[in-house]
Amino acid sequence: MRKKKFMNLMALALVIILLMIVSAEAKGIKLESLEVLLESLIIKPLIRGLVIAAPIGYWLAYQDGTSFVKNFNRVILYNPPTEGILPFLNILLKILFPVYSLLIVSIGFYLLLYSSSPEGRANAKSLLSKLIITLVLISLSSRLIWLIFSISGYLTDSIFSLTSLELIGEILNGGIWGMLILSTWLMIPDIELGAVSLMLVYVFAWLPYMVISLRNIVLTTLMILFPLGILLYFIPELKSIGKTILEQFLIWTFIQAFMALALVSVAKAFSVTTLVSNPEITCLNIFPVPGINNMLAWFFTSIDLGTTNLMTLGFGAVAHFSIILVPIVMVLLFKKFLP
Amino acid sequence: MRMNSRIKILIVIGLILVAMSISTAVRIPKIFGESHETGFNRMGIIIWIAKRLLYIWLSASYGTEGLNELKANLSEIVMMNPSITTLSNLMVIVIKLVFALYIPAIAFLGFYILFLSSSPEGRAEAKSMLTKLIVGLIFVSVSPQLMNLLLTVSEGLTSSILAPTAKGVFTKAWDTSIGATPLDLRLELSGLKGLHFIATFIEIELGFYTFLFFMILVWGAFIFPILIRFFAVSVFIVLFPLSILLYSFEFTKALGRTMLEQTIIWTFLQVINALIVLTVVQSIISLGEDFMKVGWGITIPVIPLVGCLMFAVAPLFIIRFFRGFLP
Amino acid sequence: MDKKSRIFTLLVVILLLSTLVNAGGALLGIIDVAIAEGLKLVAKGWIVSTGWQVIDFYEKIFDSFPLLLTTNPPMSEITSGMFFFIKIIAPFYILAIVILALYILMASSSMRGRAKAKSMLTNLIIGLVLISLSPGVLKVFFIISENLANALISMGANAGISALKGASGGLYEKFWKLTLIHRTGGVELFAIHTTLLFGLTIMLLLRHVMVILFGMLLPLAFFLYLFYPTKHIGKGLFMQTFLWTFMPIAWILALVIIGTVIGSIPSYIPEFYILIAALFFFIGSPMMILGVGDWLAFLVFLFEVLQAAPLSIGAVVIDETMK
Repeated sequence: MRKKKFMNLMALALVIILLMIVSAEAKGIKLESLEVLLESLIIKPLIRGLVIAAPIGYWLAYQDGTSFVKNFNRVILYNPPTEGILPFLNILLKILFPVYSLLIVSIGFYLLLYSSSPEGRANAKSLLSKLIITLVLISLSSRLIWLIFSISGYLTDSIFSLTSLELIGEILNGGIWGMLILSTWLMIPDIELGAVSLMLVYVFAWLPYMVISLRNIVLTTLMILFPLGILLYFIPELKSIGKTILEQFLIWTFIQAFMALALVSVAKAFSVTTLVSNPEITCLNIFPVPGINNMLAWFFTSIDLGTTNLMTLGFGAVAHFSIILVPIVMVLLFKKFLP
Repeated sequence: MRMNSRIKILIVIGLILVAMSISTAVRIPKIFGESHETGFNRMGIIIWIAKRLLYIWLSASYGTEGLNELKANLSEIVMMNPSITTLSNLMVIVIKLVFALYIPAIAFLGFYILFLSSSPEGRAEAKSMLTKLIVGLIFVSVSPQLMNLLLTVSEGLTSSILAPTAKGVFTKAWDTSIGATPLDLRLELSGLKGLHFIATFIEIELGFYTFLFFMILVWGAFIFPILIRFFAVSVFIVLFPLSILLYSFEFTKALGRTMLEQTIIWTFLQVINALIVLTVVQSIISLGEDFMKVGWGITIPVIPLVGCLMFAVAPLFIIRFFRGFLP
Repeated sequence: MDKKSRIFTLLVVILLLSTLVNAGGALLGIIDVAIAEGLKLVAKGWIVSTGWQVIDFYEKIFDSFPLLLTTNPPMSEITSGMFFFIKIIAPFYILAIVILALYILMASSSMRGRAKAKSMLTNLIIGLVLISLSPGVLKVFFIISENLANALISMGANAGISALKGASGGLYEKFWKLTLIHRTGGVELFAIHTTLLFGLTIMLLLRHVMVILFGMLLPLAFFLYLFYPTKHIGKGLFMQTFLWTFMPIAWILALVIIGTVIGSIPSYIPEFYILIAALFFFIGSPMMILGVGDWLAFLVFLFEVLQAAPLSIGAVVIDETMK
């Protein structure tokens, strides 16, 4: 009630001031202060709404602002191509093959012709098997990587089938549009009120891509190091380094399954949770119609009344944040699991 | 207090009117942002100055809220502890819950020893476990008194550290680092308030950032070492029986140990607060107040400022050092 | 005192009269500036009202506190995911059992080898039972957590919730008082305030998501616990499930303690500090009570708080250059 009275008083004062301005203009007196203030009360808020919020709405609606929302399953399922490893693999094999072949032949000679003690023979036998296994695995490493990638991809795909992809897309979409609506609503009176929300719009648009690109970069590096990891694993002194490389490779590959699991969990939580009070914020989304690249576009702007409520906003934010949180949890939990 | 603020408002109005009537002949440059071309520039200037002064006064009063009480009652504030009587209802409920969990465990163990005794090692293990459980049960049943003892020990240590300390030096350190501005009816511009004064006249946003200094200093001094500690000690007092229960069983021993350690650390944080006060006082006395003064026109005494900052922030960091000290 | 205030009033009256004498034909200008200030006040009122609406929007999460803290997601949602993982684990499991059985029957090398294989087989069979019972285990967790939460809430958590609302109200009061002086006076405070409230919303909703996630992984946790190299991973996953399910207990305990203890704090400490300390205590309580559970939510919260400051500098630059 008090709020309403306050707003009514403000409206009344505004009307009186407008009348004063009109009468002063009619009499020919310039009231500069009033003009300046009208500009900041009417013109600048409109500018803030149109000039700042409209392009962002356009970016989200027609350009690639929402590209993660539209393509999330493809992006999460992406694995680097295994052909990239081949040059490095060839170099490694070129170095390794002669050395190891020499070692294998010499151990063979040792076993056949040089009959020493039983422990010596057992040691030599285990060494021989290790060398052979190393060579075989390294030369198969690109096939091995392809196998691990397809297992992980298949797992992620089946995790995505646990819930409908449209629901996940809806939640992500609601999150980013809701943030834009909130920030437009806040930005119109004063731009700094909407600063935090506007930044979150950009965070939601870019952060998942940054995380997934990080995964791809790390994964490519680990792919290149994969044969080296196998080699080091079978050398007793350097076993721990090889283990680390192999473990990290496996963890970073299966992170895509965990990201998918996180999004599926968000979708499930969204469908079962209801809040006691779900307030709404409505604001104008103004963006020009695409394809008309001149001033005429501003006359054909589509003005949508966008609404967001607390649950959509909250779960949308949680969805975007969980894409970065769940990999962190998994990297911290899964450590040192190879024998 | 109200008298003070009334006088302040009157002074501000008086300044405005004096400036209005004097500044008729003064040419005001346009850098102050008001674009009036008319001769009423001076009124715009005056209002501009008045707004900044009002902002400085309001934000400084928000920033230093409760500072006088802190200076006046330093010992009581540092020694503030929750009283067991207010928590007694909750403690009784937790004790009942823990009893309800202990009794079946002890009964089961007794049954195991008497009837299902398989091997000597099994019996010895079960017996030692039984003694552990019974000792734990005794601790649980006297937990209010134990907690009272813990709080009394902590308070005793704190007061023995605080009593011989020259607390006046500490309160003077607060005064020096906060400083004063002409708004406090003094002809000086010093300390954080002086910085805030100048920053607000440059740009009000900048004034907000210097207000953040106040926030960390005064609000932090109240909130972190004192109020959050108060709440944390209350929680751990109430949970003490549960932590003893968890500590007795191998399966949950880690969680129980963490909770017991937290109980002890948060309670003795008081002693650490008192130690910090003592350290700050001693360093100010030994180094002298003019040891390091930073300033271009305003002097900000660094040692008192750092001392007050330590009081606000250091306890949280020191907590991190004490970990894993229980068996 | 009386004499002083009388002198002041006299001074003010004299100054007012001199001003009126000076002001002569400048009366219109004064009205002009007065109206300008009035319009600026209207603009500030608009800022405050918008800010109030958004803060009210965020504060509605407090009404849902009891619901979000005492309920867990229904098992029907989680079981589909659990069965999915059980279906994945099942082939490996059966393979392991078959290999072990073959080993025991055929390649019986030494007594010790056979004894080890036998114990491992019993382990695996116990594990099979546990894994197929994992929905039940989760359901037991949920029942314990919900009953405990319901019992605790009735002990005075509402006083705690109203303390949190009071903290939000105190921040809002400072915001509008500072904004009425200058329109950018309180925006940073508004940013911190909304970040805190938004962080609370995210933490509560994130908890539900994490319960579902780790609930679905529970069969995998049991499976990994059975083999020696992956035992610690299984234990870690299990602990995460436990922590996220019982986190509301820590929150509700914090609310109850706040409600009980807040009256006994000496009255000379300003109430605003007590309420803000209660808010911080509420946010940090799982970390304190459960040990390590809540560092994720804390990271989210910290990230949101830290990004408020540098952004406003940019916004000030934009605003100034747009003048």
